[in-house]
Amino acid sequence: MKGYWHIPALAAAGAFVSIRYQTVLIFILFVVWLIAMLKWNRLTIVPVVVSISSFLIFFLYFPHPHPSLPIDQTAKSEHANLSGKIVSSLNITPQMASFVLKEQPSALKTQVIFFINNLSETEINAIKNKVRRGSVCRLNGKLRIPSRSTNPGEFNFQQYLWEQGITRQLEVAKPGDIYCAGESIWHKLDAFRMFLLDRTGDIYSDTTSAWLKALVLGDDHDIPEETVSLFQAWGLSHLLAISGLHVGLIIGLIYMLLIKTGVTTVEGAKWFVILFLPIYCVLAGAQPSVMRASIMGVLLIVLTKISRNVNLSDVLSIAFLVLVCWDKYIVTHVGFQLSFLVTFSLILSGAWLKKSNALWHQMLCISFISQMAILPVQMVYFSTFQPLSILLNVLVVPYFSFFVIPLMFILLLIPPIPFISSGLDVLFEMIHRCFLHLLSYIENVSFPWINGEFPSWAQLLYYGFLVLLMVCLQKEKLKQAFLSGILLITVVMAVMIRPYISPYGSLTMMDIGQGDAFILELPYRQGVFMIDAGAKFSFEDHTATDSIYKQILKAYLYKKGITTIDGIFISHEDMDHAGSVAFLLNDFQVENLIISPYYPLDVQQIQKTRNNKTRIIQVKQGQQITLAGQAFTILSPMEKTTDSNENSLVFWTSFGGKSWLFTGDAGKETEKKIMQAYPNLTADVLKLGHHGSKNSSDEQFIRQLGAQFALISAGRNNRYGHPHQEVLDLLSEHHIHILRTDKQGAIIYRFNGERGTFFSFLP
Amino acid sequence: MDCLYCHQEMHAAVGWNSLLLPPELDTLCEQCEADLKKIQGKKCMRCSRMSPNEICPDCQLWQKKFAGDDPLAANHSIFVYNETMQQIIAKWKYRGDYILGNAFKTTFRKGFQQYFGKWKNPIVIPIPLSEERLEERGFNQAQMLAEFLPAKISDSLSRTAGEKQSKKNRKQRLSAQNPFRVDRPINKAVILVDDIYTTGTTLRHAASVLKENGCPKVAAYTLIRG
Repeated sequence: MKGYWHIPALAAAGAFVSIRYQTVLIFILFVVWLIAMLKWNRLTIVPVVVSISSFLIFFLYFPHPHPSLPIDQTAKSEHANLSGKIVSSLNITPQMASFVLKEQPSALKTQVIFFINNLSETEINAIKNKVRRGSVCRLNGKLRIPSRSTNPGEFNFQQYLWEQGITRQLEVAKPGDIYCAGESIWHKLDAFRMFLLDRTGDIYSDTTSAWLKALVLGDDHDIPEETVSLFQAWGLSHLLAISGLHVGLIIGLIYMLLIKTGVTTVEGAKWFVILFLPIYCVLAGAQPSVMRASIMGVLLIVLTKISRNVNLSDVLSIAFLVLVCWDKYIVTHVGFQLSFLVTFSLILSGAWLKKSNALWHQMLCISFISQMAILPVQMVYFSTFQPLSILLNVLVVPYFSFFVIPLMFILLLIPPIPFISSGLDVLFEMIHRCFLHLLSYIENVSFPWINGEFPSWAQLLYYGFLVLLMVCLQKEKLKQAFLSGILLITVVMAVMIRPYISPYGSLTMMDIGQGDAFILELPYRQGVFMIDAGAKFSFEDHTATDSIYKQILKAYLYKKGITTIDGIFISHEDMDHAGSVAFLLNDFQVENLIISPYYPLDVQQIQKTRNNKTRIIQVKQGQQITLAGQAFTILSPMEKTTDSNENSLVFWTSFGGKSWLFTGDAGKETEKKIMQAYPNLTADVLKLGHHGSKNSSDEQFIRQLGAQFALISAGRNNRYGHPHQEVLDLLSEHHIHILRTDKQGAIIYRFNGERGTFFSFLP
Repeated sequence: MDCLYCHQEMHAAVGWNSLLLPPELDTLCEQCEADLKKIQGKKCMRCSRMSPNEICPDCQLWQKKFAGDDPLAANHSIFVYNETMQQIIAKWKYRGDYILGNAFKTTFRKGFQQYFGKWKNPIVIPIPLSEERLEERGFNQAQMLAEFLPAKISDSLSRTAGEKQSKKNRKQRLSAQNPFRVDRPINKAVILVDDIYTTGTTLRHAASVLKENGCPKVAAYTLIRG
């Protein structure tokens, strides 16, 4: 098996991909390949049998996708008493503390959460003290099924927890609701880690402690979200996660300290590292990347003791198999996937990398391989890719390896000596702030590829051509390498121009709860429009929160590869219609804002946004505007009223063989005025006014329009009782088909030419 | 994976090209491979011996002997019989390291395509050993080589007991009695396969018996030109 361990490891990875994409194609190809290799005397029977068994065993062993549960099950929660064993460490973020409980005797895994915003310092400490890994506990709380996604592109929390083997959540209000006894030895390490985290926070400034916690102790909660997403977009997340780089540095540091100072021999230092790495693994938060690196480190040391020639690919593959056997859910972890993908590609490139003599050239090659290897994964998870990240990594990686990470270790290890530690603290803060400024400056002047979906056929082709390219490079067949590179880029380009050659358009009524947000995408990406972009309301400071924008609107637009919006129609200023507009202006290029003259627009706020090129178009009844070839007829408002709802922008347009009427929150009064002004008005699809409130949708109005479909955007079990039963009765009386977000999630009308069909995201 | 001859561990790291096509099994290590010398450059068009003449003096003698009607149309060989090769052959043939023969599988196959690719359905006949010799060695090296080839093998040639060729000198070899007989006549083109072409006597003995029994054309394919 020596030199062949990567084949059963790849078989296990293939089993995972087969499960994810629900295909047997990979298995068939793999078996055909194995048999061919056996026949051509390139593999012996042992690796072939081991690999096929590995594929089959892991196919049965890995978690299979699980159909998301219906939304009515996730809405309710019930009071419950659970008992079981704590099987994770306590994870504390600014909002909540959570851990995983393995129930006894059912062995079901439940995520237990405390919302710590409302808890006092003593209560939080009580939680920290009670929650110990290995404890057997009884808990009181509200049990529920985690919420699922109801929009295309939205993060599916239910699926995410399920991929960790967790099917339920228990919300516990206060530490008094949990009774625990006992602990396992793991808790000692957890507690030590907690102590180090707290100590770091006490000694150092916010910036320094945030980076120290992330880079040495594997806890990145204190790093600002903008920085995390900046690192993500630039393919630098591997620096935030503790990885081979850190572990390599630690081993180097230990060797230097122990051997140079004469404390032990080389042999002794090796033993020390073998014992230390597993402990460090836990102290560093046991993220998949640090586990990969630590297992590889230990294996390398052990194997070089046994045998002279150790194959790195074997070491990596055995580490892979050990990790997935230990925890089958780890394969779904994006950090795990990226870590192994990058390391494996670099090991495969070993011979090619050795050919270059210049250090900078080698670093460029390493950066190139790493970024190319993860491009599809990056696209699938983050919908963006930065081509410049290949260059940036060359600059940033040395900064982290030779400055930031060693300094962080030093800061953790030295006792708080007045001048020295605080001096280093200030020095680091200063330099690092400059670095972050530089990074965000580069981010601002460059354009990421927001690529949207990266379909499975493209992933297959991409990796096929990448292997071809690397084979040609390794064999120094530069002409063929160039050709493969072109093919590789063609695949990416084909994915990028897909929307521009697609004759399909769509209108999507996003499910943002109690609020409105519509996205209209014209065929061939001729234009993208939004009609309202609501947000949730924060009761603390009466401002819009960005949760809907980030989780639903931005996620959807990124998934579709949209960066430019031709126009946003804002019906009126209520938070549930306009709340996310400011966020959109910041991240997207918005050409036009279309509002009524009575919209109290905060011009200053708009000018503060990233591109203040946005044109503001004020329209009222009787006007027609055409943007990106799409005509919109404005039906209201005509005059200012005191009720902001009655000032709603109402407009008529047609696409996909249907005519559409968007009404904002307009009530019966406005409807009357519209009917007077346009006695012959009809529409095939009516966006019901005010989320289906009984103050809108007058019977006469409904009768006159003669609509076939009614769109209702309302929150599940909302406090206003929208949509009202009498409105629903009226609609069914007129045989109008009702499509509502609170029951069906996002509603999508997909059209080609004059034909189209309505779909709902939920079955 | 170890080298078939020197048993040094071969340290082949997995790279991009060996990802899809792993390196061949049963091979010699780079060092041993480099010690073998392939026939290159100018060679005798009849017997493959490296020689400045188009037809080497040996073959000219053969032509004279058969008065222009040499039963063997041509011989193609791959390797030169240098010191390493002699040692490998000794280990393989005389010391019974059967598996070592696999080291020549790919090269022998490739050479066959190169030299005989254009022949239509040739019959491959390995030079047989006498029964006592087969008993002594346990396997017939020519049979093993023939089995590497993508062609039909015939066993219609057999050998009467005789002395080892390698124990005779040139003169003895040249004047020896023909030790072969044909059990079933073959009317297709035949390629004789053997490990080594030294004087060409054995192969010509076999070729003439075949031709006498109605075979239209006989050539030889040998691993080494001695």
